[in-house]
Amino acid sequence: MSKGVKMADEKKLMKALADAILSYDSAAAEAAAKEAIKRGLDPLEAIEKGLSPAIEEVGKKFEKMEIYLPELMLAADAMRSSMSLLLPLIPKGKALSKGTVVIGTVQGDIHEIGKNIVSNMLMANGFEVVDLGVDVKTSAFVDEARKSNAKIIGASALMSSTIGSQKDIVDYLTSMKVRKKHAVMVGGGPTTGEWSKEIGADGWGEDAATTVKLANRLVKRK
Amino acid sequence: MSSFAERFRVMEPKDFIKDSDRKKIHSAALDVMETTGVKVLSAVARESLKRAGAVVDEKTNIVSFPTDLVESLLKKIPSKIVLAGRTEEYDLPLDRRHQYHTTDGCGISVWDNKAQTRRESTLEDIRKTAVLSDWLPYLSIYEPMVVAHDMPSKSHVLMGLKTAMENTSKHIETESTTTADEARAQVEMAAAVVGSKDELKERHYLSAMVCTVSPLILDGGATDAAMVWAENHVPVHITGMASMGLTGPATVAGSLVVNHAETMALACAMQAHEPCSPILYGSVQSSMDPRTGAYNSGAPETILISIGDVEMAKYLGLPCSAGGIGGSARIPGLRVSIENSILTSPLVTAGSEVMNGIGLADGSTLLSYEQMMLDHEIVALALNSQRDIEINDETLALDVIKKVGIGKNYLSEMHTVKRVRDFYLPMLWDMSPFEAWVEGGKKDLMEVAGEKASKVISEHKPEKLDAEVSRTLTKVVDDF
Repeated sequence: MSKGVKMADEKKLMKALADAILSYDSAAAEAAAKEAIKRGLDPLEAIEKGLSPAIEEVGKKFEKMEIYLPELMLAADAMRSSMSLLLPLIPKGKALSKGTVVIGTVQGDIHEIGKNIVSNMLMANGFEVVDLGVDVKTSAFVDEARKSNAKIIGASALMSSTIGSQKDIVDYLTSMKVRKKHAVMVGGGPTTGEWSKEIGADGWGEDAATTVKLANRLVKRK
Repeated sequence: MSSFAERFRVMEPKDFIKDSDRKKIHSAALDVMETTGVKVLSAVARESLKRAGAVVDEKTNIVSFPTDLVESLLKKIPSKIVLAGRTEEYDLPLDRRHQYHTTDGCGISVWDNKAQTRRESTLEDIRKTAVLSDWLPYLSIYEPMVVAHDMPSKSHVLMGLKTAMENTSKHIETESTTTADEARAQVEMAAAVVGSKDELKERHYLSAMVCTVSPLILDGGATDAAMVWAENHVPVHITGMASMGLTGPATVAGSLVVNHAETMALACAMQAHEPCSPILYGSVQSSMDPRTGAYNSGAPETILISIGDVEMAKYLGLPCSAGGIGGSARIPGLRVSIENSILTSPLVTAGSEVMNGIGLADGSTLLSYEQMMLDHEIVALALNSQRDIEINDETLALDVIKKVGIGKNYLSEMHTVKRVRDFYLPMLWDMSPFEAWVEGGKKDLMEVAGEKASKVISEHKPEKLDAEVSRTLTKVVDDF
């Protein structure tokens, strides 16, 4: 229990955080996080006991086809609204991030919606995400991954004319002799599991939900 | 008119959206173009639009289109054009009474029906599908169907086009052009085939698909290429792909507005750059898969929104290449065929003039030779079920009815001999009894289709391209 917060209050604050996620309400999530901070709730506990079980419940509803992608995105947005206030208050070393993912759409390609969905979902599921945007040079993916000590690089491509850049990222990592430091996951319309294997990537995300599962596997592997 | 084109003559299109509702969609799109604007990432297109009177924000690259400007630029677009074949026999008039199907394009893998798996696509697949398409009687337009992974990435589009030009006499649509230089090289190649660049302006032997990026973006490279197509009067199929719920609003009407705005934006950029350059109102819109956001081309909403696109093409009086087939099933066969059967007929009835794309499954990524044959059969059935019903003395057959009289039959009448030739007979199956199927090895339709495709590919000899022209094509590719 957080110091100085009564059990009944703590329950109420946790419930407000969870309810905000379960009702896909970003404004409520922000307000609940502010209230929790004001009332002295331990931010780590707020995330672990308030927000995380709620986002897990949303994930389960999605698995059972009770909700669709738009609800999942809204829940992720609400999660981020709370997390952006709570995370900075957690002392370094105590952070609960699963690891950093550097993500972007490859060079020559400006399609970003799929990448943004994945980026949001990864954040909501406890990853730190550095989103480099669109039309990202191969070297920029690798430089950022090295700088932020990212466990994973996520490369998105929507056109058959640009998926070759995903291979370039793998090759570049190999040539820099840092291939084992950063797992590479690829995704986007024309990509396939076979393509991922062929270029020596570490996995293929068919959609946002499977990409989060893939990222969970890849960070455990390290 | 060539007898080839007559095969595609259909009855008068039916209207599905009344004019006052079309006008509402049009007005909403004009509002979006003026107030929200469209991001134009091609400097050449921005410059032409600015000169014409559009308001260009050079910091954000967002262009605001005044309504008067849009209306005046749209008036310059030719309402009727002819897509030319390599030979005149394959010319395709776009006059609202003919409807054509293309192959699908830009697939990345090929289905192996025996092994029930897929492999990477190669240039040889472009050659084989071009030969097969040259033969298929209800296929009008060839798009290089796959990416040639065995060619250098820099020149694979040009190699694919050269291979297509050498192996079919039909009209060619190029799809994946991403730079102005790549467009210029393809113009040179098409000019070599028809005789000269001037001749190419008259004979539209090559057309190009240009996609917008929804919502409300015109990509840099593809739009630069569109300006080159415009300069050379290569018809452009403006192909918006706003997907309901993801890159467009989750309603048919809302997504039509987004697509209409994008289509008009690129059309205006082309007319500002090169007045009277030919344009087709394209669009292959769909709904998203609500669970993943993926392109869901086989959905019923795809039909509704494609019909809407056809209606908006009619509203603007432009040639139309909206919608088509191309199921979303992951593997070819029954499900793709069901989806494609459902997708085809309403669009033929609505009056789309060029419909995309036989032969690919899995959201236009997986080529199947078997599916090509099945899809071809589907479009042949759809087209033949929409043929004009002729009412005249000869078809009323009053003389013959009186001659045959009561209780006899019409079998041995010359009228029947002549007219029975018009009946459509399927090419992949016949009415043989069950025993004949057992004796034939109990083959399923995919197997039959695959065998037929292989036979055509090995036996059909397309008309050869002039050797000198071929050498020119090789030089253009080599110099690129």
